[in-house]
Parts: sequence; structure tokens; C-alpha cells
Amino acid sequence: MITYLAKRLIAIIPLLLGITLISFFVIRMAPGKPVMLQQSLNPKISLEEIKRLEKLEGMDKPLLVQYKNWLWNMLRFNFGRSISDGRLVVDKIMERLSVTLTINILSLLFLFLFAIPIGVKAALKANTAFGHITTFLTFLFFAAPTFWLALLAMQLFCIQLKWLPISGITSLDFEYLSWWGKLADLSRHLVLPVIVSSIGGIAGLSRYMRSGMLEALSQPYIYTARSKGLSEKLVVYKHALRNALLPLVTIVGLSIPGLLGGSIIFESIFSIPGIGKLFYEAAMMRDINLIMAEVVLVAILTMLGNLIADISYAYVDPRIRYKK
Amino acid sequence: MQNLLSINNLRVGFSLGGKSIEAVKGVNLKIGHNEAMVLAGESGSGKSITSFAITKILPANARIIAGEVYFGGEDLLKLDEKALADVRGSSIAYIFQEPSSFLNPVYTIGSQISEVIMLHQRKSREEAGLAALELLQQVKINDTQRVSESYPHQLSGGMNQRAFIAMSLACKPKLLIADEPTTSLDVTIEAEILQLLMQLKRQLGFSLLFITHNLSIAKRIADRVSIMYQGKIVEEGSCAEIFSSPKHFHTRELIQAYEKIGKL
Repeated sequence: MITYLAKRLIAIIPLLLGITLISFFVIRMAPGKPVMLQQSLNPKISLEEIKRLEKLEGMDKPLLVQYKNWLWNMLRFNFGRSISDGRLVVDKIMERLSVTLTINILSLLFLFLFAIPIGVKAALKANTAFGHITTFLTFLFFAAPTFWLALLAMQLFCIQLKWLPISGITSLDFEYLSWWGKLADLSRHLVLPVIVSSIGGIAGLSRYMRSGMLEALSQPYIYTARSKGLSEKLVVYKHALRNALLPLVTIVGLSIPGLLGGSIIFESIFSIPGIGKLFYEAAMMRDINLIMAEVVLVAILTMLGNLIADISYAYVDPRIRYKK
Repeated sequence: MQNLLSINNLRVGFSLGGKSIEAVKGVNLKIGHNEAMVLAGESGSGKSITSFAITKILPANARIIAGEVYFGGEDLLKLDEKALADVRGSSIAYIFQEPSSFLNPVYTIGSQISEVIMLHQRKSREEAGLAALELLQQVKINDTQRVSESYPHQLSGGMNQRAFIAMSLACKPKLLIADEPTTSLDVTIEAEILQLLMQLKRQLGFSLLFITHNLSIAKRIADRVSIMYQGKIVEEGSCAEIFSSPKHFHTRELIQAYEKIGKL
């Protein structure tokens, strides 16, 4: 197990090198230089000054040398400063992280809390009215674009019913509220983002769960479970569900990078100061250091997520656990 | 002598793609105490479905159209789900064709045996675990501890079938229904399993309904044989009667086929 883990962790290194190398070059191939920002805001800037700026950022050297320098800094956890405002990239990411993380963890919880029972029920009642209605609804929500659902929900709950605040994550008077008041205010702001961001996933995952459950229920060991005299509840929830849940472990692992990735469209609609928006802005401003930090973050999380998925799959499925 | 089980005019239908197909068309079958009844017939003749219908563990698209299944003075088909569940696994137990897929892949052998003991005999987990080890010993497994802690995929087919037999005999059933229990095993293992089954039958004194398409097995273990053909039992008699003077043309066909390849 330890050697396996070590092997997998070591395999991350060349992958990360490849990913960062390609991203580094691709970003530099895109039109527009990072120093253009200062340039365009200041029409009086001279050519010498541009050259000096480039030298300051180390952009006058050959690309490979730049990459080597960037890599060396990255290894010391130094991602440099953001070109747009000169603040440390790590700081800029950290202050946005908590918001994105909170929303995504909540919606992931929501996802499993609803998708699993809905999928199981839909499988058990596959040929009844309930089954057909859930099938229709899940396809509807799965197909509906998130931004459109978000706008509809905002129109209904925020504008017409006025139950919830329309955007942002805190109210204007947030600073003056008590601790409980702050929590309540935050929760009210998070309701719509969390529900809307999880609803498509709930629809998709519950379909997945439904087919997994139908598959498990048709397996021979289900006849065995019945022939042993187990109640239908035990047959379904002990013998079938355990098997149907196995593939979900992979999905959890694969959703780990998404937890921090954030969503550009989503955060823009709800004006949430999260990671997704940060990197969208970074890309628009050619803020190389910030973009590269994002690439590293998502790449590492994706690879770790895969690793965690594989390990936990082996943990829950004995057939994989004991294979050498 | 009164019969342990008597099936009267059992009819089972399937709905397949909107059409209804009758797979079992009025089966009558009687099994006495301590008797080994072999239900033989070609694939698709309705043998397995008949056996599944006895305790209503049929697939979702199957439906019992008519019939009675008397067991211990009660018609099992008229019992409610809860009363029927009390019969399953305790007085009527099953073993199936492919032990490796009929055992749940994510639970250990020991826990799958314990489960049925805890359910019907109301024993604690520890007691059931010990009982499971004893049962494994009863089916001639030597390293019971290791087998008990193993998952089905870690054991051979023969070992899994032994463990399955241990599981089905856990509550000392009066009737053991064996649905082609050796079909997926190779010949030497098949012989061992058959020997074990017949020895346990003498030792514990249960009745056996053995379903097979293999007439040489029928000849080896049966007290009585019923031949099933296209959803009906076409001939029934003692083992000697069936093999020495078969009456129905299908029985004769089957026997001839086996004689041709020298397996009887």
C-alpha cells in the first residue's frame, strides 16, 4: 500500500511539469502582453519604461529561462505577485478560497443528501407514476442551464417574493451584525447559490444512482438475500445499495478539484467573490502569475482527487482491495 | 405418509415486452419427508421458476397465476410477505447455480452466513459468528477462520458452494432446494459437492428438491425423479422406474441422448 501510494505521488511530478510547461507557453502565445495593462492605462508611457517593466517582471529573458525561474519559485511556494495590483498571488487566492470552498462543500453535501435517496426511490418505483415523474424532472433539471435556472430563481425568490437577497454573500450592514446575525445573513445569501449549483448535479447523480440500483437489484445475490428471508428493506438497503454506492466513490474523488475551482458563470451571476471570478479576471488581464497559480492548484487537486478516488474505491470494494 | 411439500396446479407467467408468457403451466409435485426429489429437464422448461415460486422469490416481471404450495399444512402462496419471509432461509432454504455470483461480493463469507442465523435464530453477532465457523466445519472446510473472513472472489467456486451450503443449512431447513448447484463447477468438484450434499442429507435429515438438466446426476442421487418439459411435468416416478421404463417420449429422448455419449 505504501509503495503504491509513493509510486502514485511520484507520478504526479512529471505530469505537473508537463501541465505547467504547456500552460506557460500557451499563455505566452496568446495575444497581449502582461505589461499591456500598465501600458494601456497610461498613454504617456515610453518604450524604455515598457522595457524596464518587462525587465522588472523578468519577461525580457527567453521563455524557457522564464519557465525555469517560475518553476524554481513555485517549488519554494512563491507564486510571485499579481501584475494587476502587485499583491501576492497566494494572498489573493487565499482570501477568495473560503467563499468558494464553503459554497462547493455545501452543494456537494446537498448533492449526496438528495441524489442518493431520489435515485434509490426512483429505481424501486421504476415503473410507477413516481418513477416516471422523477425521470421527467431529473432530465428537465439536468438539461436546464445553471445560469438560466439561477436567473429564474432570482426573479422569483429575490424580486417577486423578496424572500432572499439577490446577490453577494453579505449585506451592507454585515459589519454591524452580531455573530448570530452574521451567520443568518450569510446563510440567507448562500441559499440560492448552493441550491442552484447543486440542482443539476442532483439530477445527474440521481439518474446515475437509479441505474446503479436497478443493476444491483437484478444481480443473483439479490435472490440469495430474499431466499434467506431478509425483509425487502434489508435486501434493498443492505445488499443492493452497498453495491450500487461503489461507483459513487469515484465521483466524489473526481469532484474534489471542482471544490476549489469555482465557476465563472455562476459566481458572476450571484456576484460571489470566489475563485472562479478571480481567475476569469486574471485571464482577462493577462495576469500570468495568477493564472499559473490556478493551473497548479487545479492540476494538483485533480491528480490528488483521482488518487483519493482510487484509494477509497479499493477501500470500499473488497474485489479491488485484495488484487495485487 | 403425508408429504412435506405438495405443489398443486402451479402456474407462473412472465410479462416480456408487454406480452404475457406462461412458463409454468400447471405443475403438480410432491416431496416426502427425507426424500431426494430430482426435477430434471432441458433449459427453459420451467424448473428453476417452479422452485423460485415455492417461496415467491420470483423475478419482478414474473407472476403466479394460480396454484397452491402446501408446506406444513399451510398454503405458502397465501401467506403474507412477513410470514413467508419467516419460512425462507429457516424451513426452506436454497442453493443456487453459480455460488460466486449468488454470494454478495462486498460482504465476507462469515458475515453472510451469520446474517441468516442472526435473522432467524435471534442470536448475537458473536454467537452467530461462532455458529458460522461450526457450519463451515460441517461442510468439510478446514481453515474455517480464513474462509469466514474471505470475500467470495477470494475463494474457488467449489469453496464458495460449500460455504453457500453451510449458509443454507444454518437454520436446519426441512427442505433444501438446490437449483443446478454443480453446473458451474468442474467434474471432480461436482462429485465432491454431490457427495457432501447427500452425506449432509443423511446426517441432518432434510428433504431435497434437486434441479438439474443432468440425468446422470439424477440417477446418482434421486429417490424420485420428475421430468419437466415445456412448463409441465410430463413424467414422475421412482428413480428406478424412470430409468428402466420411461413412458413419455421426452424422457426417452433424454435418456437416449445420455446413453449415446455413455454418461448413464
